[in-house]
Amino acid sequence: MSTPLISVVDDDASVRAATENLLKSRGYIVQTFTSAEEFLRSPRLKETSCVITDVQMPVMSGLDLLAEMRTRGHGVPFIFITAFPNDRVRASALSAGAVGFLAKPFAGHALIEHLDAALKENRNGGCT
Amino acid sequence: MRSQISSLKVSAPQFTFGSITLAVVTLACLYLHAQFAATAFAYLLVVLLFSLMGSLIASSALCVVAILALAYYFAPPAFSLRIDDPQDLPVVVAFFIVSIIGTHLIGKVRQESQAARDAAAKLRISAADLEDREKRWQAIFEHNPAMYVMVDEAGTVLNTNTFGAAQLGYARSELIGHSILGVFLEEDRELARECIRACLEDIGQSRTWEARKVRNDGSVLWVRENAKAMLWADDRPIVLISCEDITERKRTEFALQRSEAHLAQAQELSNTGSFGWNVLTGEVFWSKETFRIFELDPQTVPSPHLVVERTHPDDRASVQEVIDRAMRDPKDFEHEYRLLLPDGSVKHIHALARATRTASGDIEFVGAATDVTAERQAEQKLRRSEAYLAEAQHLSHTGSWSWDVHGLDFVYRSAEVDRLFEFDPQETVSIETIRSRIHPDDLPGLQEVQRQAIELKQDRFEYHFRILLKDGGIRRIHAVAHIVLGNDGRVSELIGTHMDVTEQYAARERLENTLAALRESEQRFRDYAETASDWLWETGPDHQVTRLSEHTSTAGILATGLMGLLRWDIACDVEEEPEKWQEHRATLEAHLPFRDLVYRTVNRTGCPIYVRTSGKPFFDTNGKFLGYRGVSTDITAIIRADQAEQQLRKAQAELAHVTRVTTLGELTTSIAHEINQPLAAIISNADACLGWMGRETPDLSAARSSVEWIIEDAIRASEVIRRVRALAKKGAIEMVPLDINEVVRDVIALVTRELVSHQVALRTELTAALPTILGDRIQLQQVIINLVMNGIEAMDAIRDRKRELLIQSSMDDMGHVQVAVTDWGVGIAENDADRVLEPFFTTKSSGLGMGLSICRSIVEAHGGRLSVVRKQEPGVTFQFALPLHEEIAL
Repeated sequence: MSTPLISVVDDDASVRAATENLLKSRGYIVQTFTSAEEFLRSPRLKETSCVITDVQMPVMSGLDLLAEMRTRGHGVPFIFITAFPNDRVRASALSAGAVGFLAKPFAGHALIEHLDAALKENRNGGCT
Repeated sequence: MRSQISSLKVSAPQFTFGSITLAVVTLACLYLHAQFAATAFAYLLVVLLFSLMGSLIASSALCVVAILALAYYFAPPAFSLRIDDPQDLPVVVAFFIVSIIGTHLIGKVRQESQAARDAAAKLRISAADLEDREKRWQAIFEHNPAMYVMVDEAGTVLNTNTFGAAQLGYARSELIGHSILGVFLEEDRELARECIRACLEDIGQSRTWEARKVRNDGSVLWVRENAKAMLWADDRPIVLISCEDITERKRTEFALQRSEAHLAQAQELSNTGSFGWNVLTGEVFWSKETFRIFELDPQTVPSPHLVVERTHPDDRASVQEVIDRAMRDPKDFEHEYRLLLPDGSVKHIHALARATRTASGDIEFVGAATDVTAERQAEQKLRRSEAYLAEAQHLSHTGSWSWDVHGLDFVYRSAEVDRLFEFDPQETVSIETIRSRIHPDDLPGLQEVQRQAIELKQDRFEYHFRILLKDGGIRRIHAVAHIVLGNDGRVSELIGTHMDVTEQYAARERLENTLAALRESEQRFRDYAETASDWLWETGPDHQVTRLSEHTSTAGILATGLMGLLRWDIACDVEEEPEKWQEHRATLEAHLPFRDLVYRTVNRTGCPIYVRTSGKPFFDTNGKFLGYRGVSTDITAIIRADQAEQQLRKAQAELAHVTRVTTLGELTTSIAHEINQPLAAIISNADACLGWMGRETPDLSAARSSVEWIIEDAIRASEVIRRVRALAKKGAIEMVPLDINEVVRDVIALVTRELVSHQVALRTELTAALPTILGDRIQLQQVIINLVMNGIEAMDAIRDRKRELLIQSSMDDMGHVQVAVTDWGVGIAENDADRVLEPFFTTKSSGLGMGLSICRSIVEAHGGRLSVVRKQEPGVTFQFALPLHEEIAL
């Protein structure tokens, strides 16, 4: 089983770097993007096993990215993290098919748990 | 000579008749043949006979003839002169001796008898003569028009002549036997006695004196007495006195003395000395006054040379020349010169001399020298005062003149009149010329005034007129004149002054304008004063109130009964502000002025009022401190306003703070995000760190990097918190030099998330190296945040275009630092543009509408100005400019 590729999209450099650092320390392969648009342009878009994205970003939000990916026919699991956690965003994120919704700051293990769940789902989904 | 002639007269006939007689005797003897001896005897008789006639010479000659005849005729040889017979020779010798002796004896006898005859004849003549002479002397004594008196030792009159007695109105008999002293005037008796005594002491020495005698009728007679004592018969001394009536002479003398005294006095009074100068003899006479003028000792011998010596060196040459000319050509002369006196003073002398011819035919100058120093000085003073007058006239632009009413001409006009009228000083000015210079509008009035003055004999009259100047200008003249009456009682002259009042006139116009303004202003101030709450006060040396201006009490401002109180007794805030009063009392004790002391007291109704007072010490002429004078103002309203303003400012600050806090509230989400971001990163990195360490082979390098990131993010978070805390702080305003770009950057850090969350792109155009401004960092941040937030909000509804916010910093035209925040939002309605900065204006559904209004207050408090610029494109620009920090601006 090859190591899954995790894509991290966040416009905040330090959060992006920290998330990448966390995941790498757990042995994941991580690629980071500063915006949804950059991620969409990524050549390894299809190899991504999970997308961890910030909700609030200029131009294209995390939710928009999810919608776009689904539109493009990608069923890759999404984990949302936000600094502005509110029920409305949470509800719309989950309804859009997000695996996890984390409020910044979040505990590392919470992300890993959500990630593990997402990867399992992806693996299952991938299998189906 | 005469005796020789008389002797010749006698000798000739004697000799002639003797010779004839000898011839006759010879013939007779020849005839008779008389013997030699007889003949000799006969000859002897003849010689002796004729010797009686008296002449010895003739007798001697006859004797010689007789001897020759004897020798020739009668001694042998006859008819020869030889005498041969020695017997005859003794006869001849005896003859010769006898005849000579006889002749001599006869002559002697004859002489004596002649002398006796002569003496007898003389005696006869002299007796008659004496009688005659006595008669004559008696007549002379009696009738000589001089008085003669003879007195004895006691002064008793022994004799006097009739004339003398008559002169005194007495008969001789009335005087003889009486004392001579009785006729003298009582005052002169002693003198007379003394003189007579002196004569008696020195007999033969004559004495003269003058004395007064009293006539029988009581009138006084001046006499000059000439007296001499002599010894009279029996050696008794008597005094002979001859008297001469000198009353007339005495009178003349007195008159002369008087006139001399008068002359001397006149000379002295007129400072005029007289002099005489005989050119030929060089004799010079000076009067006493001349010596006095020349300040020389009257004993000095005057001379023309002395005059030159005394003359002022500058005038010596001219004086010498006058003297030289007078000597050459004796004509009247007159000159003036100065004397330089030993004490250095100078005298002006005017000398006038007339050439006269003396009795001896010499030329003599007689003249007068007058000390004219006073006149010259007066003249000089006059000239100077004339010069002063001219100068004064020139300076005061006042000319004086005198006008001949009949001759229609100036009798006199000062230089200033010429200047005023622009007359040529040399020319005579016709009445037409004068009239042509006077403004035609003023001429009739002027003439009328003068006509009336002349007709009514007005002592003084004044008038105004204008002079037309050659350059087209106008000169305004104020004339004051009075009339002068002639001998006929009619007005003959007008005397007056012309004063150039052009400037005064202009000044008066200005003054009148100023006065009008002043009156208006005065009225205004009176209005102020009447309505003002100021009052004047005075305190004494002990600082107790001695006077208060009256309207104070009527206005009812002050409580009554303040007289005699001290200021700190009147004030109600002494306990609250002891330092202020301590300082004030120290000022008063030092007698220094004070200004704007504010204190609280109560008014008449007991309400608290605030009073502001200023005062100045005053002293008497000796510098003794008398108290203070000053003015007080009720500034309760001002204080209240001040308090209100302070409260307002406080409220504003509070509002600003509240607004800031509100803004922060609005920004909470963004701020939370800003803090959450680093926090999230920190936690992630911390977890990662744990992960790296928890590996079988701990990746320490990665772990270290993780910890480093943690630190960075923690700092970032704390920075956000600092900014937020600063904004939320309710502190005093701190004006410090600031770089506006830094302030902008701080703001951006706070609002970035807000921009992101509203999907607004931020663009900044910050001009580098702007000069610093002086301001409060927080308040300026608040302004910028406010503008940014407004911009974000304005673009909330924009969906069809890019949401962009531009923040610019720059220098404006005025050299001020300017910050502009531009949005491309909905913009502002035209109607709202003016009100957008006003308080409580808002287009938002929520909010107080205080944001921009507070921004404006803050900017204005920084000396700047907040403005709204509407653009052609959508959106709006808010901008504010701030003055530079002064020190740097300089």
